Amino acid sequence: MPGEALGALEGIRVLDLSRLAPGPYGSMLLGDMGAEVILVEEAGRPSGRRAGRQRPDVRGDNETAEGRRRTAYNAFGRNKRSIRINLKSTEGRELFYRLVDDADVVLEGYRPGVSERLGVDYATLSARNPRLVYCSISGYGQDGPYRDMVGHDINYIAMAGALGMIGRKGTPPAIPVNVIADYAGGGLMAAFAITVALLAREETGRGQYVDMAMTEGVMSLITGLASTFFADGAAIAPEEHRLNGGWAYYNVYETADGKWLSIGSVEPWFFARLCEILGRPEYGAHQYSTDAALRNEMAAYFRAQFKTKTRDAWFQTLFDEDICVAPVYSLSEAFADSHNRERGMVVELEAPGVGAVKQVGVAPKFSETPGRVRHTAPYPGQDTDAILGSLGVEASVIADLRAREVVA
Amino acid sequence: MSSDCPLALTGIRVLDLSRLTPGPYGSMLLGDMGADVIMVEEAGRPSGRRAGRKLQATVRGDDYSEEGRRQAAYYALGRNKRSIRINLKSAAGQEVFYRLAAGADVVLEGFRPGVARRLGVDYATLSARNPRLVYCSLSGYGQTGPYTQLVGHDINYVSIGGALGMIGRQGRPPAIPMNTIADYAGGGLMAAFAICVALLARRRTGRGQYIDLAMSDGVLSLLTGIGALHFSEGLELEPESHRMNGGEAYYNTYETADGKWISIGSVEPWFFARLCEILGRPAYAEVQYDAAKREEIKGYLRERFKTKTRAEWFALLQEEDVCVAPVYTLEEAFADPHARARGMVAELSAAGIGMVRQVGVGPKLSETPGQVRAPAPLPGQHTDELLRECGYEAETIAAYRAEEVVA
Repeated sequence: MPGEALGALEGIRVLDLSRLAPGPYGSMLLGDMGAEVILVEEAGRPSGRRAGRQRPDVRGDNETAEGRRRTAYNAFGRNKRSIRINLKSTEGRELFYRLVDDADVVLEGYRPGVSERLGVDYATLSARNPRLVYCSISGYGQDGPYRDMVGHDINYIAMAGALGMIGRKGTPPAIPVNVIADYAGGGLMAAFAITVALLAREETGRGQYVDMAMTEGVMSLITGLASTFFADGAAIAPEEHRLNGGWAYYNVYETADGKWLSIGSVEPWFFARLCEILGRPEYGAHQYSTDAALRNEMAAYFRAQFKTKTRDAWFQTLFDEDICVAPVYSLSEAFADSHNRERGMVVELEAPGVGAVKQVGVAPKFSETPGRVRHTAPYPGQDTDAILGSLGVEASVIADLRAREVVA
Repeated sequence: MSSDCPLALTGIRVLDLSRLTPGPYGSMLLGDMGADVIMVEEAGRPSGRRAGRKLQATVRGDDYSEEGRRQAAYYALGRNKRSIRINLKSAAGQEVFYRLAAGADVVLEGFRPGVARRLGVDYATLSARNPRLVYCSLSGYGQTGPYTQLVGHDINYVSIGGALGMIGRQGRPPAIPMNTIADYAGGGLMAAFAICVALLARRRTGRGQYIDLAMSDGVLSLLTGIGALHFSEGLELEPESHRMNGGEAYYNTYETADGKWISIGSVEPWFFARLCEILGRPAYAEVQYDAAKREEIKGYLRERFKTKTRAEWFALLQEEDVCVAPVYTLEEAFADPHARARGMVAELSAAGIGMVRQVGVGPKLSETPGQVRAPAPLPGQHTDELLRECGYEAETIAAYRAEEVVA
């Protein structure tokens, strides 16, 4: 990746008002691709029920070694700048409006209605800058009966019908961390929708509003399963479907060392080869058998066979055999894996005062305008002076604004 | 969403060579937003090990029988698309494809690395003819690296990506999150995003480019936040051990009196406090993060939630700030009034079949809303139309059909 290559989204300026995971991941994806992302963070003391609360997974400040360390590792904030503005003050809001005049995208993740209250809603901002693409990420969207309902990833995937399909028989549904709603149906889907709106703007000359509900992002991510449901009315219970562990050919198996191996031999020719290797070629013809006794027999045989070698020995054996196989990795194994390393999925960068830190890399590899991790996250307000300076605000005025906690 | 609204990606033409799920989902997302997506499908008889074999996986109907038409109508991944069948192994077929590529903005393919080159439809060949082309290869492990030739499916990509090992309940095998994380999110959706990014870059550079997208890389990207905790704190995530995967009482699923499940996501202390109050144990709010109290609180919540049905709990808690939702079946999810009100069930009319339902469009754009305009085509439904658009005469088309260059 040549350092001088321009990013794909060079010249696109994003103002990010969002917090937590979904929005920041979406704007990180844009930032990796070269967009100039400015985090607009709170100034003034936190009030109400949020006062005094600190979360271990958010960025720290520049005051302590621990704060600097957390900031350096916070991948969501990388490639971004930060300004702290008190949006509840008239002057603060006015400064935000001036930033909006030069922005291409505003991203926010408040509960519906809050951006109006703060005066940073789409109607207000697009009146000033009609080319603005404005994306609201929320759990359930800006209208409909659940608009005001609070929630988190677990609730959105529950409501969308995804969580109910995930699990093993006789156990509670298994929670797929916060990947499906927060990151995929939320942040990534928002980043996609924003680029779509930016492309539309090239033709129409105007921005628009994007109402991104994470629950709906999740529903989109089960489009294929839904097709089968709409066509045949088939319900999907945990461990009863070919994609959630109901069949021997697409499942995980414990190995001799107590680790797990995943087998995804969907294609009949792959499955036939697997049965051959495992010493039961006759099973090859019964891949999709609905005979419960035979299915149980095959599953039990597979379980017993995979227990005879370690996970990595199986991976080695099956790797060259055109079997869809992979080790079920822990996080440390995934990030240490030679393939993932060679693909640049672990990046190392230098954080001032902290040293070298590792982060997850950039997934899509572009030939001409590759995505890059250019620098670690800013401290809250790290770029306040520089950004205000670029708006033409004099140093003495900035000092006064700081003194009155309009900015920080 | 009226059909006379302009569409965001009008004028963008996508040639989709991909099969199965990830690629078609990516191009469906582009098609919903108005791109002209052309599925380029096989003509000529299947050969080798694939001959005469049909995967059990849901695919759309490949014939014009009533069942074939019905399957196509419900096959949402093919909606808004056109279909041409070309035998890319014939020189004439390749030439047809080159003519299509000359007028295209995007080519998407999901072959095993190396196959596109063998077929003569690789990036180098096509970009020499059309330098504005954005070309995305979507594969399991990417075009480089030790696993590039390793075959796989979603379950394997989430394994290598470190996601599957975190999902499950203690003492049981990892629970497979369907094919949402690699096929749909890290694959198709990530590809659609990357393609739009490259199209935006083209406005400035005047040139297209090549995108190498590995689903296993996409999965790792989706773990960026968890990865940050791993890199900074050495976090490992055993199933059911962490607040995000069922280790804590305040973020978990609970069985209700009717054997259904309800999800509770009371991460914020003020939400958890309210929940504890409603459940009759306000004191638990003080020990939300206390590891020593974890099992006791879980046990209490398990018992309490067993005392009412899921619907009763949801009715009771939805007005409260606690973060609650019913764990729905697919049927319940698509019948829910909110999902309906938000257009997440699209209804469209399929010729000879009648009204069919499909998942709607996720992101809602105000000026150029995405639309479900037409059900999936049958394979080769638009072959003649597209050949004519490329300037082929009727007699050439007939000859190509006779020679099985197209179908």
